[in-house]
Amino acid sequence: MLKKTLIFFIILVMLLPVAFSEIEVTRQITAGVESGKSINIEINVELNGEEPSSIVVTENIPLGWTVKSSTPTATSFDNQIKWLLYGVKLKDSIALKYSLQSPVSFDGSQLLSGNWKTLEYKNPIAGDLSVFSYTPEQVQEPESPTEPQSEAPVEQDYLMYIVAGLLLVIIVLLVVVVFKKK
Amino acid sequence: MYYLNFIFLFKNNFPKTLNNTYPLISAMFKKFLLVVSLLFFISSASSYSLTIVNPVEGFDHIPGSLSVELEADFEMETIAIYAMCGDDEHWTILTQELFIENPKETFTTNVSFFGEGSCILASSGSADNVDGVFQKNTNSGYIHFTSLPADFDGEPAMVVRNLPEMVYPGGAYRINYAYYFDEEATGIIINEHLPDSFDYSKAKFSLNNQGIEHTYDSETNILKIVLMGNPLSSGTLYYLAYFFDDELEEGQELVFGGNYVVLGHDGEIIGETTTKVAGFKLPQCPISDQDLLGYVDQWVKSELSDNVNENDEIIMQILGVWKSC
Repeated sequence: MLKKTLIFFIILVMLLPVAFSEIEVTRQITAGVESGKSINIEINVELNGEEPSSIVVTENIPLGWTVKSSTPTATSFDNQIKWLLYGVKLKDSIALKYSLQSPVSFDGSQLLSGNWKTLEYKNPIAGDLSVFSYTPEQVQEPESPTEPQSEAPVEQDYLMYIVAGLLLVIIVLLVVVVFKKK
Repeated sequence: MYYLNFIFLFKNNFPKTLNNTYPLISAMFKKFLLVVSLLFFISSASSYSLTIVNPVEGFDHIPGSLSVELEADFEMETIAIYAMCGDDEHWTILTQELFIENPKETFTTNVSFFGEGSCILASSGSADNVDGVFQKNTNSGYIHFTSLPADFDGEPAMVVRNLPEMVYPGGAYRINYAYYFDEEATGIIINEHLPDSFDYSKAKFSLNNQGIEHTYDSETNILKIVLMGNPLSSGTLYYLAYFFDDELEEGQELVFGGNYVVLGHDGEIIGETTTKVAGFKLPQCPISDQDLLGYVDQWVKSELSDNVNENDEIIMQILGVWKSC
């Protein structure tokens, strides 16, 4: 009974966002960009059960930045690119991608803005807002034998997980043994 | 992904003798592994998170100072807060601050904000080389809120109408209302008289007020909306209406008029009262594939309208008619 209730609860929790959500359009920026180089930006459109006749997704292109490519191909307007989605292109989940080249002088961060609209809604694109400049790390020279060994934070994390996990296992085993004895 | 390695390490090396000797412990251990892996998976779905702690979703903002509190699970070196209201094309940067020397996991500030209507608040935080490769930026979830009009001067209630600037014969249009209460109310009735050439289509209401009933009299063209709640808070609502009369001339004004009633007070709906008939005549059903592609081609070339927003509006209305055929 408890098991069934738990499964029902989990399914209910998983369904909640679907039941009460509307169209979601989010921008994803997964990396920084070097000055003069291109960055890939993805815009995800989730209809969440809504059935609009069309959606127009607009990205404003900052001054000095250039759109190098887009998939599916976007239409260029003044300082904007737009995707017009209708008919068979309107699927439950749509990924719009474009490549944006930063100006040679780019340093710091650049705020992006865009919106999506249907006959019923007009909202800004949610998700990531800023593109950050990225300077590639210099190639590290081999460590001299006299220098102290640098710390390895990744291995420390690994050890931390193992120790935490072991502690949890011990606690659970103790609880089980105590209950078994009772 | 290290925790997954850890789980597999233990699962594969868990003593088989224990499995035979203590089947209960073995079974529970497997369930434990499942729960732990699920928890880790859920918690690691988003590497870094930034939350707007205050204000909360659906709050009402009085024009002026807005207190914002952010909380992140990493030390932020740059923090920015943005807002966007109504038909804004771009984010308004409310504040942008650097904390290179003294990164922060929590941040509280007061910003001035005079936007109006239905707005969205967003925040962004970044830290240099959080993941060892590039600058990491993270954005909060978005908080939707209602910003009161600047001239809201203590009336017990106020209802503000927002209309499309122009309507194309044959199109469907969203008619918006924002309703405000100076103090908590338990009910409001909105009576709206639609122009004769409009036909009420369907109603949708903001999520924070669910006690809503509405009736539409097609003979008088009066839409009555009743909102109830205990308490009933300020919010927004809209409905879709079809503009069907194609006999009207371009530029002709269509007038909306209505009133609202709250306990002990009533008043006129303020805001926009007129919309104009646009020159473009939307096509009627059936729309052939050739015609549809022709319209899309005109949209691409901005030939439906010189105005980029009108160009979008016309193609969406055409596609709305096309889908309804």
